[in-house]
This record gives sequence, structure tokens and C-alpha cells, in this order.
Amino acid sequence: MTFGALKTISVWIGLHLVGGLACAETARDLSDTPFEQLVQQEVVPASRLAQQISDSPSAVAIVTADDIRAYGYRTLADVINGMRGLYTTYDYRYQYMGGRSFGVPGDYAGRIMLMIDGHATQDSLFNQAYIDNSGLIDLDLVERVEYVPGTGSVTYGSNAMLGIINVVTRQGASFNGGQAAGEVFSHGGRKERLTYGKRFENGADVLFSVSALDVNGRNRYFPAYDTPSTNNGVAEARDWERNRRLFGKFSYEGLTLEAAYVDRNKAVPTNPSYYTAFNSLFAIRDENAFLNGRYETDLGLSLYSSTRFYYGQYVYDAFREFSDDSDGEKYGQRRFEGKWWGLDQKFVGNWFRDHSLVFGVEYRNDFRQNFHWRYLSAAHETVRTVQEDYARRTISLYLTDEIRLDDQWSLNLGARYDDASDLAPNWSPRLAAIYRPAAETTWKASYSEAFRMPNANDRSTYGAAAAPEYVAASELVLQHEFTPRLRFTGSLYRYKRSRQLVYNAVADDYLPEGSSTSRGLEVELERSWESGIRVRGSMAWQDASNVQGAQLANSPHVLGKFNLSFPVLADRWRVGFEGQYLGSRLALVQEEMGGSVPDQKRLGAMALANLTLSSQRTWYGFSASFSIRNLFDRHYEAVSPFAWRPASDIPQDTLRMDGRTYWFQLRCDF
Amino acid sequence: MRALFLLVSLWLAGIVLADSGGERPDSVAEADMKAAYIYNFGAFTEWPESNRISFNICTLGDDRVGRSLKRYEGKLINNRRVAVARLSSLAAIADCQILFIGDAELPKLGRIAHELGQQAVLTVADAPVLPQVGMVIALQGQRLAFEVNLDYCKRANLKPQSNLLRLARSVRKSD
Repeated sequence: MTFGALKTISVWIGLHLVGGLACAETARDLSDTPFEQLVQQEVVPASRLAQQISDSPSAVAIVTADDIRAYGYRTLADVINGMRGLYTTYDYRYQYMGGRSFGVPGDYAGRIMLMIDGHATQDSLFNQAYIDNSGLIDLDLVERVEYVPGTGSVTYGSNAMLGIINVVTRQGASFNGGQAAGEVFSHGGRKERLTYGKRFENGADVLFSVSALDVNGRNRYFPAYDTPSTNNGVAEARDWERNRRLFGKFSYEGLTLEAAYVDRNKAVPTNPSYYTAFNSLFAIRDENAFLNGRYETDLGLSLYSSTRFYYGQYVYDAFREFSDDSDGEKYGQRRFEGKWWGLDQKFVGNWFRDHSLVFGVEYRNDFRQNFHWRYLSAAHETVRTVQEDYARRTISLYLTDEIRLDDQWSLNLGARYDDASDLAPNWSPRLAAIYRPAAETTWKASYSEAFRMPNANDRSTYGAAAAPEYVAASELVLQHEFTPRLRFTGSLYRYKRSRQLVYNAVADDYLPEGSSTSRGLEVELERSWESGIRVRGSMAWQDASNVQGAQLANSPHVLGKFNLSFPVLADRWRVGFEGQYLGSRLALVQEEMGGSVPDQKRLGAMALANLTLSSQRTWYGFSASFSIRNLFDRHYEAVSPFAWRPASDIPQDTLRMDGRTYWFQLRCDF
Repeated sequence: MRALFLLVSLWLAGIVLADSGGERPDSVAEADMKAAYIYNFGAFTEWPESNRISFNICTLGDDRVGRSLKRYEGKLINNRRVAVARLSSLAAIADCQILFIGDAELPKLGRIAHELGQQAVLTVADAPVLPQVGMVIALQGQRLAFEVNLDYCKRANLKPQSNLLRLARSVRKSD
């Protein structure tokens, strides 16, 4: 599929829909119609498909708790892989997300925001959003996930640069009692969870959950290390993983208190650097936690207020073994720590007819950003330590006006001002026009600018060269509901990123002088039937370039998703089938070494299928799910984040991924 | 590539199936019609004397109806200008003349009733909860129908006019 095809299709869609609009002329001013006539008039029933909650003029993708159950999703990465135009890449450490204008694993952290019930959860050192087992939330506690592609700096400031993942957790009332769940899965994995949720007579709602995951992992083979001195390329028993999670939520009247904690330990089978030993212990630990308190109320009929306090912390630990200890340093230990708190006061004012004003102020204090490296001798004695400390205080002001021009047209204008203690102030504006020519059709056109501040890790790595990076995004979205159960979503976009850091040979330093452009088209059809069948299919074409103007690595031109679920055995069980197509994509350019020349491998297109069977009803309190991922046992590879060659001079530009795996979950409500 | 073509053809098949659904006559979105009903409930009810300047129509837990109601702002009910408020809490519900309660906030019905007592606030919902509210709007085939709880109205000192009662699908009355 080429861009010629993309243009043809976009023109076709445009014509198709403009044609549809021309005959959709309606007289919708009902206010002068006598009531006797109104009760006779037919209506278009409200959509039976999930509606977006986020107030954003972009093409939002939605996954609900029903989808999570039907398709056996276990991590946010699974959810993201099922969404239009998105994919993830795994390097045995983390799952990295790829989408519009980003795909290289290193591009992910700091550019995507992950919100849990309105709280931004990225850590304060790398600004990474954790979507795998190092993430904060068990998917069994999730009511819905929305992905808002594109910029969100107008509302959320730094980091909301290329997309926002919005997670809404379930209410305690939806459990109405206790639930215990046990899971077993491939590679010696198991998980236990205990949850209690309830809504009390006085309206107070509580949810509490604790879970533990343990995976033995398996031996992994790496062709680049297939030499007798490096165990023939096999990393033995270096793929285990453990996590412990806690989650609690309490809400009463307008007050909500929420806290989450996760501690994830992972052994990494890949060799992290040129200086470390293959098949030696390389273990990482990520600890994330937050506390979020919010009070919402109406101050009279025209003013809504939301006051929020938050505290967050992140700890990263890593341990590695060097292959050469002639300098007396055999082991390396890292401990990075971030702590922050903030206050956000938001108002929504409806004083003026046809205007809805959102405005507020946020203060955030990243009071601890500490990097600590310790080097140990073979006898585990400390040889050398290095330490760096950073901090940042940010004050932000924001204002958005939603203007209703008439029954069909509205505008959304806004800007956010962010002033960080170590950077020049920045404005992030957004302009959007929304046109609803008929009850079933919505057009949204928007232009916005977003940015990302250099994070603590950038400041540590690039020193004075660390600088903010920007993106300007234009998007045209069309949503059309053919029936309340059949919805089309189309999106045409162009992103221009600027002031990206690139190495400048003359200055012998990194300079913020890179820019790149991406454009693409996404289409999706979603349909449900009263009988319980649900189907969703999407295609995304994208053309993302890097700062050199060449195709961006790990960014396929074509992505396809197909999801189908239907009830079986008299509605007692539900089958969920998922197909995912990932077009061919480039690996990272491999650095030259010895006699070799730099090269860049292209990975072939691939299609994966997953199948899930889940019970729809409880039987004496019991219910179950069973999943097969990679149903047809396809052997495939992912783009690796490594660009250096080990001693064998064989590039390690790809990593082998799992074949068919199984997962079984048994739940008991009590 | 085969998988790609399969997906494209499935998608196209979906479009075609959708198009064969046939043209519908000019019709009104459900939320817009609910807003029209709510406005008419206000217009065809006798309200007790009040020295308020505005006639406040509030929504709780349903932004779509709240947005649709916006077009009635400035119109007159009981010689007062209509103001629309999209509320997020119960803090200000006693200031409303009509309170529409969407699905999301139905669990709070008990507390809303307790908070309002016998004040002249007409509560409206679009779920089968007539015993607890003043009026209920329901989808009946392709049209909307409504039901009136006269007991509630009497307690709140509201008098729905006879033409409103005549158009109602049913009227709940204990005597």
C-alpha cells in the first residue's frame, strides 16, 4: 500500500461523506414546535456504542471493561495493541508504545501521558508511562481506557505531546463485595488478586485491591551472542518477573481519595551495554506510587470547582556485571529516585450564554530528582560513587473557551502557559472547530501546539544542550453514526515536530535543530448487534520521517486491527477474536564496527491473532477466562533498541518474540 | 499483504452493509428531543410564586442533554428567562426548577430526594424510576414517551397542565 492509495481513499471518503451531508439538511429548532407535534416525531436513538468522555477534538479510541474481558487483555500494552493505529514494542524490559509520528523505543518516554482517573502517572525522571507489568493498575479494576491521539498540552502541559492514555477505574459498587482471582499462564507465570468494592447506604464508595504476579520466564536465544564464550547465545533463566500491586479508592460526596503502588522486579536477558557481560545477572526494579485527592463541587449554578492535590514517587534500581573488571570495577548499581507533589485548582464557568469557560492554575514541585551510580569490586566493595541532583518547580495557567455559535457550529479555543524554574516560559495553544450538520455526523478540525520539557534524565545526559521539543499538529476528524449501532471514524492528520536534539559534528554536541514531519489517515468501523455480537475494524496509513527526512525506524506504513466478539452456548460464554496487522518497518541503523559498514534491516510485515473465551455469568460465584495469544504460533521479531554490535560483529537489530502462549484466569465473587 | 487485503475488504464490506441500511427521514437526535421535552415540561406546568429572576434547568450526569438544552437559554418560562446549568454535584440542586438526572447519577436518587424534600423542584429521569421522580422520559419504538408522577408533583406544589397530562403515556396517582 502506497501513499497514492492513501490519497485515493481519502478523496473517496471525502466525497462519500460530503455527499451524505448534502442531503442531511434538518430543521432542528424544536423550541417553537408545539408539544403535540413533538411527541409524534421520530428520533435517532442515542448511540449504543461506547462514547468518548475526553473533551478532545481528536479521534479518540475507546476500550471498555467488556472489551478487556472479551479479548483477555492483561496489560495496558494489550489494550493499546488492539487500538486503531497503535502498537507496542517489547525489549524484555518494558513495553514501548508506537503511534502517530513516534515508533523508536527511545522516542516513547516523555511524549505520551498516562492518566489514571485524571492523575498523570509518568515518573519524574524519564517521564515514562508504564503500560506493562511495571504499570500501576490491574486491568480487572479498569472501567474504560481512552486513547486521545495528538497533543494535549493545552490542558495538561509538558509530556502530553503526542498522545494521552486515559484510564478510568471501576467503582466499588461494580464489585459489590469481594473477588478473588487466580491466574496461570505460559513460561511459569501465575498471578493472584484480592479485591473488595462496595457502595454504602450513605453514598460512600470504596474499592481496595491487592495483587501479586510471578513469572519464571524462559531461556532466551540471541544470535548476536552465539559464540562458545557467551553460552552460545542463550541467556539462561534471566527472564523472570515479579510484581506487587496495591490500589485503593474512596469517594464520598465530592471527595475522592485514591492511591496506587506497584513494585516490579524484572531480570533482563538482553545485554544492556558493550561493557557488560552477556548471560550475567541484569535486574531492574521499578517502583511507582501516587496519592491523589480531589474535591469537586458546584459553587452555585454557573461555577464548578475541582481542587486536586497529588503526590508521586518513583524509584529505579538496576544491577549489572561488567565483562572487563581490570579497572577494579566488577559490578554496577544504579538507584534513581524521583519525588513530586502538586496542586491543581480548576474552574468551569458557565456565566455567559453559549460560552463554557475552563480555567485554572497548577503548581508542581519536582523536589527530588536524584541519580546515584555505585561501582563495586569483585568482592562487592564500593569502589566509586557518582551522584547527580536536579529539581524543578512549574507553575501553569490555563484557559479554554467552548463557544457555541449555533446548533451546528462550535469552537474550542484555549491556551496553557507553563513556567518552569529552569526553562523559558512556554505557551501551548489549540484552536478547534466542531461542526454537527446532522444528529449522526460530527466533523472536528483542529490545530494545536504542544511541547515537552527536557526531563531529569535529559538534563543528566545532554547537560546544557537539553532543551524543550515541540510539535504542531493539524487534524481533521469525521464521526458518522449510520445507525446507533454502526459508527465510522476517520481521521486525517499532519504532525510537524521541531527542535529535536540531533548530533552536530561541527559543534561536537547535541543541538536542538532537528525537525520531522508525519502524516497519515486512519479509518475505523465499529458495529454491534442486539444479539451481543461486537465487531471493530480499523486501518491506519502513516508516513513518519526522522530528522534526516528518511522513514522513521520502527514505524510501519500500514497498521490494521480487527476485533470480533460474540456470545456462544446460550450466552453463557463469549468468544473474542483479535487480528493485528503490522506492516514492514525499519530496524535501527547499526553502528559500524571492525570491517562492517552501517546497515539497516527491514522487518517483514506480520499478522498476529489472539483468541479468548470468557464466561458471561457466574456459577456459584465462579467465572473464568481462557486466552491463546499468537494463536497460529507465528515466529516474529521486534525492533531492538540496541544499535551497537557485540564482539561477534553480528548486529542485534531485532529481538525474537514469543510464539503461542496460554493464559487462564479463575475468579470467585463472594 | 494477504491479511491486509482481508482487512480492507472486511472494512469495505462493512461500509456497503451500512449504506444498504437505507435513508432515514429527517430526524432528531434523542438528546435534542429529550431537551425539547424538558423545556415543554417546564412550559406546561404551573409553578409556585417565586422571586427568582431566572428559571433554572439543571442536568446531572448527562452532558449530551445538558448541551442540547443550551439552545433554550434566554427563552421564557413562567415569565422568567431560562438558564441552563450542567451540575457535577448535589451542592446546588435546590436552586434548580427542573433537575434532569442522567444514568450515571441514578444511584444518588435517594439522596437527591432527601435533599430536595418538598421544594418545588421537578426531577426528571430517563430510566424506569417513576416512583422516585416527577417525570420519566422513555424511548418507545422510534419516539419518545413520558410518564408523570402526580403524587410527586403534588408534594412539590407543582401543577402539570391538563394538556401535558393528556399527552403522557401514563400518570401515576395514588388516589
